[in-house]
Amino acid sequence: MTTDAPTIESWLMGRVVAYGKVDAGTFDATTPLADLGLDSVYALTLCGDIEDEFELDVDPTIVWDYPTIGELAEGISERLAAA
Amino acid sequence: MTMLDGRADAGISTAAAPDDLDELFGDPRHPGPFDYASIVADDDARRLSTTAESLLDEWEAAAEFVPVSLGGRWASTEDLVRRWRPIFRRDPALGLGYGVTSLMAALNVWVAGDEAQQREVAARLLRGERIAVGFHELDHGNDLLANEFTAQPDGEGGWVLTGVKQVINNVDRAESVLVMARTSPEPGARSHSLLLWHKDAATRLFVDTGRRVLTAGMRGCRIGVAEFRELPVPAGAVVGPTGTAAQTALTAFQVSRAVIPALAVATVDATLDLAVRYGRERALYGGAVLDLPHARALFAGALADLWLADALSAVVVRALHLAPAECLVLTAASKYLVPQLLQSAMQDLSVLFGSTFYARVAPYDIVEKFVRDLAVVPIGHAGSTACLLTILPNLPAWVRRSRRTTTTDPGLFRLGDPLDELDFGRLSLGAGSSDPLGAALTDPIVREGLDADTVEVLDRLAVELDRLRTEASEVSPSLLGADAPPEAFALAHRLTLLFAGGAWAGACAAAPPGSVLRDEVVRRAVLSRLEARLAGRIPPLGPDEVDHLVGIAGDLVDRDVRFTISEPAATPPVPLEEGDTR
Repeated sequence: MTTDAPTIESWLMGRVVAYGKVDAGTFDATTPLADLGLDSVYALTLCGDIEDEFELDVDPTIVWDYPTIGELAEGISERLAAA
Repeated sequence: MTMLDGRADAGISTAAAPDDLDELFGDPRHPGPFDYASIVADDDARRLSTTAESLLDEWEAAAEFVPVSLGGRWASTEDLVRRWRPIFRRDPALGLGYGVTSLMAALNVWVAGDEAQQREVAARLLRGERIAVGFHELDHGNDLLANEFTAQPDGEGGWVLTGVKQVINNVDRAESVLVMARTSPEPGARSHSLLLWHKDAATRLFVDTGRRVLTAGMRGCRIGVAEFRELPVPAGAVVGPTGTAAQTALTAFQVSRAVIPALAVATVDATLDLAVRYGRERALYGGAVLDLPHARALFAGALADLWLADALSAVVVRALHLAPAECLVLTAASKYLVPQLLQSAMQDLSVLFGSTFYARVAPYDIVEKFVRDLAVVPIGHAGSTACLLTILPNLPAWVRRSRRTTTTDPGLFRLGDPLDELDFGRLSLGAGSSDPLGAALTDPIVREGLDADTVEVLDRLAVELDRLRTEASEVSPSLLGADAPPEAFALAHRLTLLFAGGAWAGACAAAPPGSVLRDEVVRRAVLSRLEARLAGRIPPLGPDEVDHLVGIAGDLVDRDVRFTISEPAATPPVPLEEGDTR
């Protein structure tokens, strides 16, 4: 499984596009998740997807602590490395 | 939580078992300083009993809310509930107005406060002070992140508080107020902070707390409005890091969402006791009310609902200690379903009381007050809808966990077994890692302790659970937010009922000899009500079940034993036989 931040970042961007709230190409890794239509419900969905993809249980507070895709990818990468 | 030794300042011996409040208060049906008659009179006058408040001060009731490690008496949350229930058997408004509000405030400090703040709050509670919870703004309801009340930096490390908080219990008389304030204009969950204001630090009138809000239920509570006009508070007023109000409050809520429904159970317990006495003495159609089939069916249904509510709330209280990571969803389920069951029971009982209910005929006029007071419980700090909204977005995660959970910690169901002090750090804001109450429906250990008929019902509930998992896994996340359609809400509603089924099955399987939970007719009656609720309609229980339940109730009242199953019944002393020299 991939644990490097850039790969996780592009996977996250794919997920966000799949949720259908924003179009690909209209945002980048520094756009705040809140601006991507990711309310608390989608934050939990994203947590679930992270859990399925990386077998990593995460609290929804992870998207509070890492409020952009870039930061979130770094955060997941660090947790995977520590696991 | 940090272990602290605050006992020295508190001057309270935790070793001494507190006296039973039931004894201290006396039987409320008989004339006394805190009897039903005086409670009704105080309620009419929109005040709390000063006698009862003095008794609670003497009994150091707030020590129950202070962890043992901070000098209080709170280790097992089940004990806290048991010791506070005598208040809710007499006057829920006293429970809320004397102390539960302070518990709700203090929880945030136990969750996120630093050592100095924890010591300070413990000392204040132990000397009888109150803390109000200044979270609510009427414009935003349970949508706390939309709150507008602000805390601005004063440039020297402190903060300046401005804004209005509404419908705040005790805000006028509390010595301290915990407020939730916006500390950043950014949207999102990191823009609010909790700040604790001790009124004795204010040098002039920065806050107007004088306006009272009159309510229909909990009338004796001093609920009011607080208007803050640039109140300065020091840097040390912030509880937890700046920006963590949502995280702290959502953690603290889990404890209050477990405790409050469990306390409210006691009010219905008291009403059932009154219903038996009324039903026996009130003559109608040439007999007693309790001889009429309709009245008996209403009573039996209410009793079955009370038992289910008691089992779910008690197991969830134990889960705070034994399955803390799962408590976000479990406590939301309890705070949603238990008040609903209790209100349904009260509704049925109010019909049984008939004209005595609506004309408020003494000595049963207290029932009308109980109905009004309990109506406030599902609104309170975590409304029924807000509880379902907590569950909804967690449904997909719950499905994954539920599918991989096969057994449950049997300790969850051993009601009354000792529990260690609560570890607030283990409560989480996610769905945890397992589904203990769903799993109880199929857990072999639970099934082993049950009769064949009950197991057959569990089989049907397990099929329901499976169906719910499938439906929940197919729902789009876009339907799980605050704008969720009724079909999505129905999924969360059904989940709470299945949790209740798991709690009931587990409690029955673990029940000690002599418990009503060992009675197969009782087990079946409660589960048939539960299955009916799952199907969306609640027919009366069968005549045999009704007779059986009414018979049990009469016997319990005769022996002066309460209906609740979650407290060890005070076993009446076995009468000495002749020649017995014990």
